[in-house]
Amino acid sequence: MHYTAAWQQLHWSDATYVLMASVRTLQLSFTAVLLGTLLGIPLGLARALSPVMRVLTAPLVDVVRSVPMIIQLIIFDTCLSISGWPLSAFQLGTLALGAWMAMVTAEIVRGAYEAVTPSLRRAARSLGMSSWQELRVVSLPLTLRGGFPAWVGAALCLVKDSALVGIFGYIELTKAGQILNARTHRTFLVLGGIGATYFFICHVITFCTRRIERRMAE
Amino acid sequence: MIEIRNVRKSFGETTILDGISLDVHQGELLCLIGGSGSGKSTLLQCINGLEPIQGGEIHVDGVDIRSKSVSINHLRRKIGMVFQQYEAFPHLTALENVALAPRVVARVPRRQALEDAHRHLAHVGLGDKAASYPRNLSGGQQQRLAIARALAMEPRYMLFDEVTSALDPELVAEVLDTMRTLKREGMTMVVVTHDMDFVRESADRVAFLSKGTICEIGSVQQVMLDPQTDIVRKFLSRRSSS
Ligand SMILES: Nc1ncnc2c1ncn2[C@@H]1O[C@H](COP(=O)(O)OP(=O)(O)OP(=O)(O)O)[C@@H](O)[C@H]1O
Ligand SMILES: [Mg+2]
Repeated sequence: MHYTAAWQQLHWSDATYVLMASVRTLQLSFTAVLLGTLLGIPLGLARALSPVMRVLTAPLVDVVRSVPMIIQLIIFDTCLSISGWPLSAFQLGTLALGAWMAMVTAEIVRGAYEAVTPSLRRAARSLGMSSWQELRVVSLPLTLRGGFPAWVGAALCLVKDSALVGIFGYIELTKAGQILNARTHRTFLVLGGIGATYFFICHVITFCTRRIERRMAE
Repeated sequence: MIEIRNVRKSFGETTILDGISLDVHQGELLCLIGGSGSGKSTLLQCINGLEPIQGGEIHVDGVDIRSKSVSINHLRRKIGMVFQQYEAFPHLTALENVALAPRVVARVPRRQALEDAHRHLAHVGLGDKAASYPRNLSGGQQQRLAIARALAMEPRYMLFDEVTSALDPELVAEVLDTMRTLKREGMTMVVVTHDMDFVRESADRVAFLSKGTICEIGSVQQVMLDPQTDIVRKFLSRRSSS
């Protein structure tokens, strides 16, 4: 009589599975960061430049930044299915994570814009620049440069939060880890490896952005 | 010529300039002196429209700075300004600092603007600092950079607001030398300063500002050596004793 394990051993093919899952984590994170940044920069500038915009957008920014991502995902998901607009898990994740990234980016941009001294702007205006020209060649470059480190921090946060989209059926890194773990019960090996993969991804991002930061600081 | 007529300026309830009238003639160096908080900086900023005025008129070469037909941005190209805290653009090299406004505002082609910028840097003695970033320049060098940046717009007038006050004593001379060079070349200058030696030696005329009005104006002889009012006498004796 043969004893059969209820679970199966790890195979080398599982490495490919994890690799594919990391790619999916990166795809989701990249899309959400891109979407959030493209929306967040103009939103942040609008908030910095216009008191009316600041008041109007304050509730949105505050809510999206403070409500836990898991709750936002569930609310998004529920709203979308009620409205008869079923989205794929990838699209859902992009929307929810992208919205979070946009609000965080907006606050980073607003803070960095306000860190540029009014007297520097005055100096630019004294040379005959219009307020738009001043924004384009002085305040905006200084804002983007000043906000860059915080923006990288937000992007790293988003990579980790993208794990939550696994709950909705998007097989990204963490979800893949859970599936492998359920099959093999090699908890330490599997989840340790998944954790190390996250660490590696974040490390590479940090490494690259440090170089950019150093180049900007000259 | 800059004509300032009965200008009034207030921040909220507090009146800072209370009926200032003053002409700045072509080619002269006019020094503005007065106690701290007397409104000297404010007056300079009113001249190029950085601060709006609540009354009176300012004409630059016959054009009202508040006229609707001439853009204030266009008028500011005629009026260079240098600030106490240098205000160099920190993300640009010295050369780019100088070339920026000509490129963006006057739409000078890039090559031409950089060429001109080299010339202006050399003019203020920074010919070898073109590739340096402001944070790697001394205060005196940053201030001369700011002067070159203003000169790059080929202004007819230059406004200086306590441009040596933030400098270490040993760096003051190089900036004053640059200003003297400008004067020799015929630049029309309005200089706010606490440096009475510079006033005595370089000013064509001196105006003393107090409580939002000009209480004395005239040649160096008249104002510095033979002041008519107590307030100027007191101010000058305090300065010379310190
Ligand atoms: N943006 C502002 N809002 C309110 N009050 C202001 C503002 N700018 C200047 N003031 C006030 O206006 C007065 C004149 O200021 P100003 O800077 O023109 O003086 P100043 O003669 O240049 O003095 P200093 O020699 O100290 O530079 C001061 O009392 C100052 O507090
Ligand atoms: Mg002042």
